[in-house]
Amino acid sequence: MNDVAKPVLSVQRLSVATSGPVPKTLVNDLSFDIRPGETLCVVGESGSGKSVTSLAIMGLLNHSGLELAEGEIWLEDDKVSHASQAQLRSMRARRMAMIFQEPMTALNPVETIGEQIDEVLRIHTDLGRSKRRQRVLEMLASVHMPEPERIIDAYPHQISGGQRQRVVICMALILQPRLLIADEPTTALDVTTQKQILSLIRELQQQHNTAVLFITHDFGVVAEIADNIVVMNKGEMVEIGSREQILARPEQAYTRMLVSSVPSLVPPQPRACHEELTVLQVRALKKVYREKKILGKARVIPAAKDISLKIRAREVVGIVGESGSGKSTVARCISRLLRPDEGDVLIDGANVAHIVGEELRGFRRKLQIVFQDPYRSLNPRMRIRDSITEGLRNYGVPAREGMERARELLTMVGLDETALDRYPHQFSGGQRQRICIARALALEPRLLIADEAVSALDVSVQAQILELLADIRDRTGVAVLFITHDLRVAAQICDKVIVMQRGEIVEQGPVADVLASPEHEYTRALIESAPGRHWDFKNFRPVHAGQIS
Amino acid sequence: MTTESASVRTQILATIKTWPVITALVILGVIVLLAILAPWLSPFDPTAINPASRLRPPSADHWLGTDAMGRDAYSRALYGARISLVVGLGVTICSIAIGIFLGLMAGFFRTADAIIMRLMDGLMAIPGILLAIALVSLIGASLYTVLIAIMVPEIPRVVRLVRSVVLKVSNEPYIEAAISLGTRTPTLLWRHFIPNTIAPLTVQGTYIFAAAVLTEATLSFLGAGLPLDIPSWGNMMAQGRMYFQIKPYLVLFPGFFLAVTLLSVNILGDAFRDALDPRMVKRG
Amino acid sequence: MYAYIARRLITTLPVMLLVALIVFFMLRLAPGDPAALVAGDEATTEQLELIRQSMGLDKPIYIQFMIWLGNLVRGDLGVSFLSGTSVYDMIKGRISPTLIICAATISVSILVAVPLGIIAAWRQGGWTDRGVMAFSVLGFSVPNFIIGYVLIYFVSLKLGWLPVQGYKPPSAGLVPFLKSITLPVLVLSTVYVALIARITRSSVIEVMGEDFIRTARAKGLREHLVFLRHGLRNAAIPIITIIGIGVAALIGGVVVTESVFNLPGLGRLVVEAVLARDFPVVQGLILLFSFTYIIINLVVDILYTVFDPRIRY
Repeated sequence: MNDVAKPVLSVQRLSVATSGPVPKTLVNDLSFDIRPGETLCVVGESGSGKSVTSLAIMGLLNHSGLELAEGEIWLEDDKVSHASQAQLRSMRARRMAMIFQEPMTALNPVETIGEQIDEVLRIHTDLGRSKRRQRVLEMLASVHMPEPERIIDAYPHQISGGQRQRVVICMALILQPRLLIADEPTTALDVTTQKQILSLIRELQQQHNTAVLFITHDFGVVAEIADNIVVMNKGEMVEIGSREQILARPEQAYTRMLVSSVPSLVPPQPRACHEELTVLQVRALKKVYREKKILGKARVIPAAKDISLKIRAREVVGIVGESGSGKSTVARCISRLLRPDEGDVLIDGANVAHIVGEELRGFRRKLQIVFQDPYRSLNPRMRIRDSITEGLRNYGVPAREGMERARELLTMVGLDETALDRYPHQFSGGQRQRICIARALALEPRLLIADEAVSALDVSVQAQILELLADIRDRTGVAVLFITHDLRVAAQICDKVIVMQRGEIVEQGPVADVLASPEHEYTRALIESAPGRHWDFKNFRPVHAGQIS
Repeated sequence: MTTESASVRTQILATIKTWPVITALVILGVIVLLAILAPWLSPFDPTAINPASRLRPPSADHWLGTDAMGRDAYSRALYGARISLVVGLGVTICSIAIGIFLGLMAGFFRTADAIIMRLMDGLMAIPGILLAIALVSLIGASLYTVLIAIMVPEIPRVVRLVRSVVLKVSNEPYIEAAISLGTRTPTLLWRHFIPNTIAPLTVQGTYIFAAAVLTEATLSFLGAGLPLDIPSWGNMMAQGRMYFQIKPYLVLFPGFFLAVTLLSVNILGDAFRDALDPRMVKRG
Repeated sequence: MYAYIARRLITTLPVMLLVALIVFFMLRLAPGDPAALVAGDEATTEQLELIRQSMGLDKPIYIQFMIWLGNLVRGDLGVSFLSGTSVYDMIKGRISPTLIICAATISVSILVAVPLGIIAAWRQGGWTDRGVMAFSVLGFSVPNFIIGYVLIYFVSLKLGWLPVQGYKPPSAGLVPFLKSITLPVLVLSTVYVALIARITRSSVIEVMGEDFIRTARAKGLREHLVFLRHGLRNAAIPIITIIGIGVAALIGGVVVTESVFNLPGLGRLVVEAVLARDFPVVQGLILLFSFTYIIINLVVDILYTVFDPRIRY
């Protein structure tokens, strides 16, 4: 760490509030410095104010209806917080640059890649056209973009999400600014792509001694890249310190809670044993998607091939894969939201793969699903009590009994009885997910499928819901199929894990074994890409050798 | 599709409080009242011909003057309000009822979808007024036939709307949850789909109402609408046309009522749309 | 891109066929003998028989449709029984005022409405915005014949600047021609401008809230360039869509406006034909207007490829 060098960015007592008659404070009294070549991570859950901070530094607050209430922001020797629009414009991209979260929408869809990167040069330099083209090509090469000559004339929709993020990085770094602000740049990407982008940023940072302000909610990423860490909660700066200090010796209770909730690749101590009875058995499952085209040949895409697995009572089996791996397809075939093309699905011995009509409906009691998006899983116009008792009503349970059961279920998931009369919008994401779990348990299913059920939740809430699922598994003996893209989450809750890639199972086995000695190279890649894999968050220390590979 | 509030009612009440909407509601309320009480409020029989007092200007006896046949314009205007409201309501209710049925069919059954939507495309390709005029000329002009003629061009929009609600809601996870919970299809329709159509249909309904009133007036104005003895604002303007240069008020008074009614309904429609579901309903 | 255009062309044909089918069946809807409807009240029994044979009324209905369709494709729209002239010639004779007024309306409307919508979006929430929105609601709600009469009352009767009604073709002199079409074009434009301005405004506002606008600002681009270079081109698609769809309202407006201002165009011809129950003419005009509407929307769809590369590739 450079004690002698002057900070590139200095944020002093920053406060941001909404503009208008009744201002709401979004950030309060935030202070930190970043020196050249350093990476500072601002961590917090949703609503912590971390994104607002980045907008404040770039001077983009007023476009979002916000204003700087107090404090100063210095970029080297310039007071950014009180600069004019013209001064800010000249500083953007030249001395400070920003990359955002959503690569899919960050680029103008009607202009070519080349034009958009070139625009940065046109605004800030006097270079002629051929010189600019050369610079753009060089920059594309430095972000390891394949075939820069072709990409330069391509449109955004013709390249992938990871490639678009590289383009955004090009636009940000082409003028070699002193400060790079990255606002959750890898959250929307696959974990293997994320690893590539993080190392790319690191590489460019080291080449130009850039200061990096990295905003994220993922402590795993923080453990990988941070020199210093600022923890924010509801607009307040909770704690600031070096990576060592925050991860190993956090002082504030909130920080301790946050860090210990982060799932690591270290499986916890095994809990209740599974039983011997097989609840779910899948044999040679296959599902293809046929593309419909009016002109041209229709393509046949195999979404899931030759899938076989077994889940026993009281067992949690996870399916881990990136997008396009087919894990969701498998879950939906098992739950018969889709009909498999081939194969058998046996629940308690009965094959449900190809049944229809009333028979299908009869089987549905045994298998329930909790979905990913808590904001769309409940009918917004139905009261909670109606949502929870919907299943019971469908199978003829009388109203009074249904309400009794609903109350029991709410207690089981840790919610109060008063929730029954309310509507979904009155609850947070985590609470809604608890309601969905209660709804799923109402019919006393044999198998519960959690389809990315914690992916949309904040990390502390995520830990609570995982705890809840484990608790329910212990109490009711239900079997759980846990679908996730995050290997770390799977490590925390699953007994057995199945790894899928491109529609096929590449590896399966007890979670501790798979993590300690993976056989397939894809599994190895997943483990290596898991951010923060060397840190055991729950115990505030690095992972011991031998716990994972 | 996120709805911040729970019920349609709470959402509507929230936007009611602005002054254009309140004015619109007041005006509409007055017009509805006048229409209902027309038999008691009209000083004269709207169809009573009185050649002696033709084309009189507005006076104490005849607030809005008399037309070419000596009929009291004020009484005719009051009864005209009735006709407009009856046509508006009739067309709205019928087109929504038929539209819901066809829209649900199209949304749920692939084959029905292909047939119904092609038919709707064909209907929508013929400009509404033309279709209405042609229908009236073919099946004759009476209150019922005019209702049908105006209703037919409005149905495609409702069908499209209901169908798109069905398609959108089908993709929501809570539908999959309901299916997993063993909900049968008819119950699914009733419990989950139909409530989601209420909000956009309310908005679309107000626009249809306005379009129906306008189309009836246009048809009557062109002479291709209601029979001349039925007092409608459009008819009054049609008959007053010939005398426009000397007695412009014969056209301008009913025109004014029509304009004010339509304006109020459209303002209400916009208010509903902003309150309920800004992305679902498009005009035109 | 060519696949896209081919696909659009292919899906257009069934719609046109369907319109033809609907029009064909509408005639069958009328009570009474279709041949009598076409022949008119004055026809003799022999003429009636001839017509009945030429329409193929003795043959099954799909054959009748084929015969009718065949005639259609050859340009034979039948003969007006009121005047005896072929429908095709009647249309040819009266198409020019309608064409001129529609072309003028579309041009004027686009030139006025799009900038209006853009300014309203640029100054969202301000007085211009509210003014444009208020004007837009008025434009929808107040029926265009009423606007017509109000304008006639003030501009023609009271001020005497423009003629009350009537049409002067360009051959009769430029100034009389322009004077005769000013009020009609003004009246026709109100609905169209209201529609376009509103959609322009909402489309621009929506686009300016997109992520790539934020990226453009983060590059240090000046605000008006962000607007012009990144915002407008992306806002174009809904705007040209509504221009296409609005033609339906335009056609309805033409029918009414030609009646109000007594212009010898196709709009007034429709009304005359309907009132006289001259079905061949009614049929021919509905087909003409509908096909024009369909083709204009096809052109709009193809125009998308100019604005949106996602459709092109």
